[in-house]
Amino acid sequence: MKKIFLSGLAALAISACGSDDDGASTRTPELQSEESPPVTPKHLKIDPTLKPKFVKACESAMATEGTAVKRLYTTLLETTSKATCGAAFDVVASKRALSLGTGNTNSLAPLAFFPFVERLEIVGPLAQEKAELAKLKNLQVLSISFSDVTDLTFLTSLPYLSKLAVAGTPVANVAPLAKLENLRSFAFESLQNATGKETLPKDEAHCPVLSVRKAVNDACKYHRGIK
Amino acid sequence: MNFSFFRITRALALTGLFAPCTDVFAQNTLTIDGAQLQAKCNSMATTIGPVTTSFSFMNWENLEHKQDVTFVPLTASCVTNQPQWVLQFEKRSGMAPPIKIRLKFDQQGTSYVLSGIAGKADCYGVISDWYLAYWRNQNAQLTREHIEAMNTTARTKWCPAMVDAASTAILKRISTK
Repeated sequence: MKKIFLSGLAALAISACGSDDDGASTRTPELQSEESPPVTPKHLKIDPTLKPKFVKACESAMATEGTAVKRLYTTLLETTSKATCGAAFDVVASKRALSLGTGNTNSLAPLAFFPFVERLEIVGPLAQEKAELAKLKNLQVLSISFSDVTDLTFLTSLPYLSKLAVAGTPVANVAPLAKLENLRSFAFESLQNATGKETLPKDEAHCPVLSVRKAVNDACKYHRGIK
Repeated sequence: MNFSFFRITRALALTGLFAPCTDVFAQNTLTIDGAQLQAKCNSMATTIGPVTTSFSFMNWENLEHKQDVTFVPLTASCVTNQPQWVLQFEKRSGMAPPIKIRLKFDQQGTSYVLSGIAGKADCYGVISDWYLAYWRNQNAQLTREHIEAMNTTARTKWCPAMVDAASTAILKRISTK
């Protein structure tokens, strides 16, 4: 904190010193990155019927012992730091952020209660319910960890996705991501298969460095070791 | 002015020693008895608790930078006989917002084998945004080169150093009986 404070003081001091002799014409303009900022949608209005529906499904799942669904809702309560389903819904609604993750196969069915979510984390394999994910039209930030997803094409139906992180997932091709017009940040951690080979080939077809999307270029340059 | 700004803040900025972490747990190199791991999962806050470690990296101005960081247990899904268990930890100290580290263990007989560590990708998004916002809040006039240097540092230096150091410390704590 002290160091930050000192840096801040230095910044203020230099700003003050330079203010009288630094005309606008000589000031270095703040250059934008190569792409314009992502378009962000307006918050979706939350349908008041969603909360009671969610609470009913959540409480029912919590009353069932030993199921993966129970684990999913338990994790949701843990990540929101709430003891009741209704309170957990309120946290997700206020933050517009949801964490769905058990490590085991995740049902994405609960996403139907959160069409307004803008940030989503998924940990673990996905059940075959990617259509639920594709309905999140306001989704802007997505993190997928330890999933079994190999094809990311289903993400191209998310028009406002601007930040994507994929880790521990056997992705075989990131080229479809170039279609995401608002994608500005993309990172992945390469996964090795049982023979120690990375699942994402280091070639132009699967990891393009000449994409129109700078975020894809940057990630692929790093993955492919291009300076 | 631009150069003065960065020269002076560089002198005052964060310094440290660059020492890449070499003691990183690799995939499939750590096996933990299932009962032992489940006991840790069931009460992570007390059996594992906060884990603090140090890491260093070369920052975007090519200065050595050393930090302490603490990760706390967040969630664990260690359901008996489920083939995969995931433990999540979250950064709650140091510079930059919370960042998660996720550890995956696969069932192998009665034991669970470390099969994956995730965190660098999430970290990149968080750190690069925060880094940029921090300097903009200082009224820094950032050129495209500055922004690129910050992003590159987040992706190639800061996040790998932090996640490797923290996950190693967490795994040492978990594997200690």
